[in-house]
Amino acid sequence: MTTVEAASQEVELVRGTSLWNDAWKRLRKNRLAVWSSVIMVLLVVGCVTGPTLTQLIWGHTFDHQNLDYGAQPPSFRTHTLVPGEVVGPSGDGVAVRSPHGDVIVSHGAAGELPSGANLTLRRSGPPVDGVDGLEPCRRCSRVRAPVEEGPHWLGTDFHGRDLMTRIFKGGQVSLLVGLLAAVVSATIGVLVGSVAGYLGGRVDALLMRFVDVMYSLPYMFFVIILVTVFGKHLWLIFVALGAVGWLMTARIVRGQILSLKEREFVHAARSLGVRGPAIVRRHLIPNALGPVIVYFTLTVPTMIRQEAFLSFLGLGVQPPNASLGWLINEGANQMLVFWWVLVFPGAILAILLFAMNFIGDGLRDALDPQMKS
Amino acid sequence: MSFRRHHRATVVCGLVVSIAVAGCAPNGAPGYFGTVVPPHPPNEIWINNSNEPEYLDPGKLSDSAGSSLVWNMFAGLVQAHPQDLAPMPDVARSWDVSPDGTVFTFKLRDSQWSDGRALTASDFEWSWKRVVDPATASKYGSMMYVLRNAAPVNQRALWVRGVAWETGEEEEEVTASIAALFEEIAPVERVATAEWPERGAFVYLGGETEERAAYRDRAIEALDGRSYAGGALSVEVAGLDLIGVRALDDHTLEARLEGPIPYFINLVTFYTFLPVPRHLMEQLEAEGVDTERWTKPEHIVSNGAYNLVEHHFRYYYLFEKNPRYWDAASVRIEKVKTLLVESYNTSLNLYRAGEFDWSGRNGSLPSEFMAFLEPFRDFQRYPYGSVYFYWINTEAPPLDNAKLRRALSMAIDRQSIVDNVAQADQTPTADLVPDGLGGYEGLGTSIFDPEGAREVLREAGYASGADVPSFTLTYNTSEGHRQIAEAVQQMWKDHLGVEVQIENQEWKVYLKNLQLMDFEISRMGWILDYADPYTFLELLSEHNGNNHSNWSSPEYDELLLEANTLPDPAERLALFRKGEAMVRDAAPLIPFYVYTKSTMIKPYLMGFWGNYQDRHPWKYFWIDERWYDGVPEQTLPNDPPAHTPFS
Amino acid sequence: MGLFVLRRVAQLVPTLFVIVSISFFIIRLSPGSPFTSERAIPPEVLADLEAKYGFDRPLMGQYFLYLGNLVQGDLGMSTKYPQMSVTEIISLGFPVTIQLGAVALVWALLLGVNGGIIGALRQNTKWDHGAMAVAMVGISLPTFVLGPLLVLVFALSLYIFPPGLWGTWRHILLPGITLGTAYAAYIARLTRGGMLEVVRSDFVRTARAKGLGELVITWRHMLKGGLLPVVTFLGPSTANMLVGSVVIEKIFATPGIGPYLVDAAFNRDYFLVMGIVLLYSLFLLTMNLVVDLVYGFLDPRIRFE
Repeated sequence: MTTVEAASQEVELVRGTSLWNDAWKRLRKNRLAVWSSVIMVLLVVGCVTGPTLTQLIWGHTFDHQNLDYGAQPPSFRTHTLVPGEVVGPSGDGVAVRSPHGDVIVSHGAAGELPSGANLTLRRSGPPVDGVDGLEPCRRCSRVRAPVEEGPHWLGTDFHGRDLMTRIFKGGQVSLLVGLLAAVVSATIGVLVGSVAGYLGGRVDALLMRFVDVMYSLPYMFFVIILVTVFGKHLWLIFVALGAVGWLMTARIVRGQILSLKEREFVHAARSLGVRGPAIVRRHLIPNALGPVIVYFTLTVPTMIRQEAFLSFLGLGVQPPNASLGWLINEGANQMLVFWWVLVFPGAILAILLFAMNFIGDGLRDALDPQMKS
Repeated sequence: MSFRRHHRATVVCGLVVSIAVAGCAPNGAPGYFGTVVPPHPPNEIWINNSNEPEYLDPGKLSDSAGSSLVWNMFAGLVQAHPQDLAPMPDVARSWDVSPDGTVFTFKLRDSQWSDGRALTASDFEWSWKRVVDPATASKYGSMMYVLRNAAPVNQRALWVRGVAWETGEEEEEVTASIAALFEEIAPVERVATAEWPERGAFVYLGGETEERAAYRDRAIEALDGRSYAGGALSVEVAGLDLIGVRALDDHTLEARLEGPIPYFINLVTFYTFLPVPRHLMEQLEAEGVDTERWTKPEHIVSNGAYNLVEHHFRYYYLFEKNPRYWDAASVRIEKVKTLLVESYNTSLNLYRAGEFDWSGRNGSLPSEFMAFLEPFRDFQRYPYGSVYFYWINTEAPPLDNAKLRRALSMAIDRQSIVDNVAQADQTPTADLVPDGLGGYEGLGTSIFDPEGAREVLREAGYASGADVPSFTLTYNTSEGHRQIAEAVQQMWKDHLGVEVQIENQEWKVYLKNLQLMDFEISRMGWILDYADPYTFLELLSEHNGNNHSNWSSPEYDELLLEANTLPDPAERLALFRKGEAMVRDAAPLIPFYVYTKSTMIKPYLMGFWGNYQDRHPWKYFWIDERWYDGVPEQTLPNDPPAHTPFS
Repeated sequence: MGLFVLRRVAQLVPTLFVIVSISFFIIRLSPGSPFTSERAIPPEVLADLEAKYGFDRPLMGQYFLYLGNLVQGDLGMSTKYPQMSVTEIISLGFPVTIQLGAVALVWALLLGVNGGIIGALRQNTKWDHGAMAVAMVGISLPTFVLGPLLVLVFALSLYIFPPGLWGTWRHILLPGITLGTAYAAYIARLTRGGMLEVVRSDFVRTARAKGLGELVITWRHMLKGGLLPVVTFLGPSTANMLVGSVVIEKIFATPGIGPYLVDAAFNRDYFLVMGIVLLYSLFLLTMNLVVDLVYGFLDPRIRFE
């Protein structure tokens, strides 16, 4: 009996290490997955360092509002805002005097402003003397001294905040929410699911009843109540999302284990005298990991989406903080007027999710023990 | 007139073009946002009402969503002119005011409920009393407090008779002697004497709300019938018959007021004063139906221009012209469908696609879209009688310092907030009462004075703003409020050096804290109830439950009371100006701006005029049918109706 | 089998009881009340309002009263909309949401299962990558972006469908597709994953060895196994569509029950919140039961114990 057990353990040991070694080898061969990993790393590094960089170079911060400079399209040029004063109507617009004494006629946009009203003039490119390039801007007003604005490569949002900096900042939040919540939920889910699936019987019934109860609680309801009681905090979102996310993983793992444990190799291991926990750890979990990983790669974007959903309802990240989902929601509301506020955060999220997906697929192919044979 | 619909593609628009350029719908026209051809017959209109109203019962209603509908379903004694809101006769043919200005007598015309039953003065009497009745639990019962004895009845005060006093006697002594009667029986909050309908006094009991009923019972048992000063005391809960409204006959209604209240006629146009069908409610009660359901389409009986015929909860209301409305001859639109679309983006989409003729008065256009929508010819903007302000809790240090409060108010650049944040051409104001309201000429306090603010701050005892202990500014969760709060935070820092935290709270939590006075500075918007400065100034009187500043001044309260007794409008307004100066100096609140309303309304929908109360009776609406054939060369004149004379 | 169903149904009762209790106390203990409003209400009036709904009783008393009424099928009246009972509100809104959900589900299954099959049968070809890329786009597009985009294209540019509201089949398509697309993407990925698991399993090999045609193998054997994870997913997802419809119904102004849960909680409309929680839970539990049954049919190795 002891010899058999020892032998089986030895076999397990060899198999176990080779499983992950092989996986690593296979993963490195998967070019898509490798490139996706590179992109992921770049994104993470970009999101972490980005806000600091834009602040160092141009002085942009994610929450600094420059209302004189709201909703500007992407541009590589530096702009200068110059105070001007309305002299009087001129044609269909108004005549505006710049601090140099030049009078500029604005057409249409400035509308019916009374004489003496303050109006900001905008100049694209580096400041030069003279009238050239100065134009009155409708939404701008009351600038007391000329203000120079660093370029906004991705434009600004409605409140004049640099969109690029906000995307970096939002990326940070989204990555944090997505990864943390997914890891937490996958860990709990695998644990509960495998125990329930393997032990079966009363334990299974009990655990699944618990999962059922958890499932049938509309968690939005709890999030709303939690948020109203404790206020809106990022950690509440983790708790809410993590607490709900593991349920699905648990069910999937349980389902997998239920069918796996009737398989021949598990029967074989059991007849060799391998104990329960070892069977779960060595045989069931690795074999059930494929769907779990697929689900995990789906969970990250799901978590990011869930957070965005909460933001849509005004319960997620609170402004001036932002997440990608929040930015996209705002962009979707304004896409009729300002396209860039939707397109850029959307593109970043898409790239992020694609990369996550290909990494997940790569991992899945690499970890699938059945592919070895 | 047959109903024609032409699918004229004014502009051939590809996908890309139409994403970039709005307004090239198949039935669109240059310069307009979306379609300009009505998708329905010319005797029908579709409006967005934005929200499902809480009630359709005029007596219980308290939200704007309901008022839009109710004003069109019921006709009151007096209606407001659709453009300048001047009172015009509705069910009342005419009215008289007693020389002292405290008794209004309305002469009613012959009119009917929609089920054919005659509408009489006693319907009004019953409806008004019903609102005051605390058992009705109307949130707007306080609107009726202008009626004699309505306040004590609404608050279940005890009506004490048999306490004789000489006419010349000091009121304080009288009330003290009455309060003494209740000693060791029940706690007394205050006592108010009354001369009508007979001499007596209202005793407001204090104590916890839950215990008041028991106190009342105890007081009645102990005191009622007790012999006192040669007679017998009579103590009872103040009943509805004490309220100063009476039907003298079927066509005459007498309203007895607490004092000469010059804005009473304006107030009567408010929805709380609309009649409700007593006979229907009694019939339902007899049938065992919950009377709360009387406004359901299968039951409802109304007397206004339109009848409710269909309701799909949180989807739409369908109305049809009421042929029994006394002025039905001048109602032009047969059918009105009001949809309940909350999201402003969706509402704009539906408007653009022609599903709405008017984006409605209850939703707002998103501020991000203002610059985009303003140039369209179907965009309209008009001033709205609502003021955006911050309450200051004047008992929370350091804000218990009036000079500091004044300095905070002066340091706000309101023009910049309007230009850059609110962005709808609102009128910046440092005073509470909008200029021009009811002929009122405001103080014209400077809307931004950083130098002066620093000066006042020094007077307040702070050498620099950094010495001011930090406090918190609270607002209910909303993007717009947050932006203003952030801007204010920045301004106080820039101009005074005062640091302030800002915090958002979810609506119900925010309201609760406001009621509990658990805040330091808190945002508020107050909409006028009637076109008179008093609607704003009374906010700060001591006993007003809506006064969330903890500030009160007997002198100020006196002054308001006195103002309402003055028959000469000019003198009255002058007193109001005095009162407002007190408010300015004490600064229990910081006004920001008077609102504007921006809305999208199809060019073919006529009979719409912007006004301070944003009231738009459908009975004046009509459709310029020439738009079915294309864009007319000239628009038809859209003159408001003449002011109907008394008849 | 029949016994199994009976036992599961019997188990619903304590589960629902727990859910009702938890949610009752959570909503009741949250700050604010249904009657807090901007305008001050005299305490006397407020007391009458509260008495009308029984809020003046002790909380435990209210709890038992609610349970008692619940047993009799009375869900109470809405406090925000006093002329409506919770039952009425639900019976008006739920059918709309169910129709929307049904369209979404059909769309999700059609698109998802077919996409997944294509991906699995042609693993690592451009078909596979294409299908999975589309699925990824579906997953990465939040409904509140997809919705307005579809509206922009199909309602405001091509004028094929109305941009919102309800009533005809033309109203149902855009919101249905918006709601279903994300689920289609998940289903495609799960179907593909599940089928790839089965492709190499013994019984498929056996079937192939028996000389069965590829089509039969795909549909009868592989799909049956491949759908296992999909079925697991579908149960709660069907119910989750109720929550997902919050967004859809706001964007398309559809008169379903989606937005009520959030709005009712914000308004502290106690009985409506409870009613919606109950409905949602009941729906979810039923769907989970159905999933377990279907599971048994698909995988004969699982026994109903």
